[in-house]
Amino acid sequence: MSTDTGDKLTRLLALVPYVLSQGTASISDTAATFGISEDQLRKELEMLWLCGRSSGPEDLIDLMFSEDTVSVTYDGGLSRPLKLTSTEAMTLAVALRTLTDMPGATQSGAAERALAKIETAAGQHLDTTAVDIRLAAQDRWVNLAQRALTEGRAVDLRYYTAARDETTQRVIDPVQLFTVDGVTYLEAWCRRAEGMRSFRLDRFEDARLLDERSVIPEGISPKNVADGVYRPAPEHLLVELRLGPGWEWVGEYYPCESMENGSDGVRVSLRVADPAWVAALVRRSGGAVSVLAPDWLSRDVQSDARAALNNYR
Amino acid sequence: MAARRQQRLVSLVLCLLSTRQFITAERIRDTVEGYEVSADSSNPDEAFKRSFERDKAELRELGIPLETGRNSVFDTEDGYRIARKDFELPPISFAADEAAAVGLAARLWSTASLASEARTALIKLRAAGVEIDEPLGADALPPLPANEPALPDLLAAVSGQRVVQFSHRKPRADVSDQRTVEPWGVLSWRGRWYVVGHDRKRGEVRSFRLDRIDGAVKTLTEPAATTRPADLNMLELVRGANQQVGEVASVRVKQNRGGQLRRLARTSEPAGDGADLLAIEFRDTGWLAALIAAGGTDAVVISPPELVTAVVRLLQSASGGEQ
Repeated sequence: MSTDTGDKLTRLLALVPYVLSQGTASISDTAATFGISEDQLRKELEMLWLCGRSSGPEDLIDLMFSEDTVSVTYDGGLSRPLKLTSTEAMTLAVALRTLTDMPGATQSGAAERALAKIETAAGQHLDTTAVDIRLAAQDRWVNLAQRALTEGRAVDLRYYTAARDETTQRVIDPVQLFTVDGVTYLEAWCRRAEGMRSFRLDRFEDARLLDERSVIPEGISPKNVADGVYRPAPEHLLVELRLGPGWEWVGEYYPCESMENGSDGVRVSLRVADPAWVAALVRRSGGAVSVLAPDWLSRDVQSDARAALNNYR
Repeated sequence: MAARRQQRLVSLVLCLLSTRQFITAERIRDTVEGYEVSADSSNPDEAFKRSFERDKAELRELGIPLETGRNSVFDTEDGYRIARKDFELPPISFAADEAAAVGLAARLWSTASLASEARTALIKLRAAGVEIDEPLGADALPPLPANEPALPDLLAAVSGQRVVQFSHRKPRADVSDQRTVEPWGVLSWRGRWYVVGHDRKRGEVRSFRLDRIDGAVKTLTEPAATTRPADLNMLELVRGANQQVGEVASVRVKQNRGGQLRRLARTSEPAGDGADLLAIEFRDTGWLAALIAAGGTDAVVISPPELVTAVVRLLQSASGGEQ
């Protein structure tokens, strides 16, 4: 049986109890709840109308329609929805358990309580350990980070700094989430460092939403930090790069002062804090990214690559 | 499914729900609208039997429990009924935060192939009067590995302790193997789904990538003979199986340098001269080569040879290509 067919029959059997539970149900709300169009809903309700035993009209489902509502006059014995199948119950149960692994995604204990109720309704113990969902470290925190942003709340963060190999506790005021090369960062005002910082979600050791509002000091606008891990400054070196096929994303990720399409790729100019970053990018791309200006950097980058090559002679 | 048939199925359900007596197929044919056969049918009895068998199978697949039995010893054939207590969702209510968790949980599957089970579960809960709004934070859920068509059948087999058969493509080969497996569980890890269980032919525990399963999963009627060991760690098992598949690179990295490579390393040993020797597991040569090339003079790959070649090629091109 195709999924669509099963979906549809399940829906048909659920419509009458749903409308019953609402008393008088609005057509548009009901269509939205079931995820179908109003036309489709009307068609299905008309199908249900007069369904039942043909022994007498008194046994048939009877609905009452008005312009934009529907109500049930007689439910034909269909007052409750179908039981959850074991796969449906498992599907919800496994997802609820996974949510408990995402701090801040749900109110404390809500997912566990809901899981117990689903189990009771399914009338069986659900062995959720049979489905093991391992979230990537950064996926565990993305929901909390998103909520902090949506609700404008500060976050109490325990964070591992790889460069100094230390773990610190700090309160941050989130500004935005962004992803560079598959790594998700939370850009935030750090009250401890008193500056803007990018925190990698996969280095979060613990985080807690605070009731306190997040406050970004004046003069710091999200736009200034919206462009990736590198923050351009006027005193940084202005370089011009050619981005070959497959490397155009560099122009999207990093803030560029200019960008134009040339015959041999995209030409961008941007400010960089450390020329070594450019050299690494050129090596990593195998020359698909190359330096157009300044000349000295182009020469340096090439001689860096030659020096690295010498390791293989 | 034609609207007429759906109408007939709903009527059939209502008919079988409304009685505590078993109703024979013959009575059903008379009572339920939609079983009339067209006048030009050569064998109306046969046509009815076929439709009725199909309908029964469909209802059972939806999880509607059809009971068969006889009302008295004088009955000559089996009748059918649906016990209300096995059909209906028992009373259930959620606090607002629990309902929000359920809504969010259902959304977690939105990219994966259990989306439709999650959707029908929500429909039933809503029809039971549970208010589930569009969940907050739904746009910040991690994407589960998407759309593996084998997942629902495997999950049903795991919970029902059934045996499954499927054809599975071997890594680095185009041919597929027919496998008979008693599935113990499924694992989602690093963007992929795996099924873990007892491989009957090999007589041992195996894991299989779902994206290497060709075609449909067949569920056998016989029950599984093995059960999941209490201490089974599916992740360890899958990780172990994948180590055989991947290769290990040996990379010399200057101390305090090459942080990204160090994080990937399985082991790191001092190699003298202020450098460490890292063992890095990889499958994609181009990807690891790019990381090593980015390391410049700080990182030198020792083996395997094809990785050395790939890094040298990148560095040659980066140095202007005049080598």
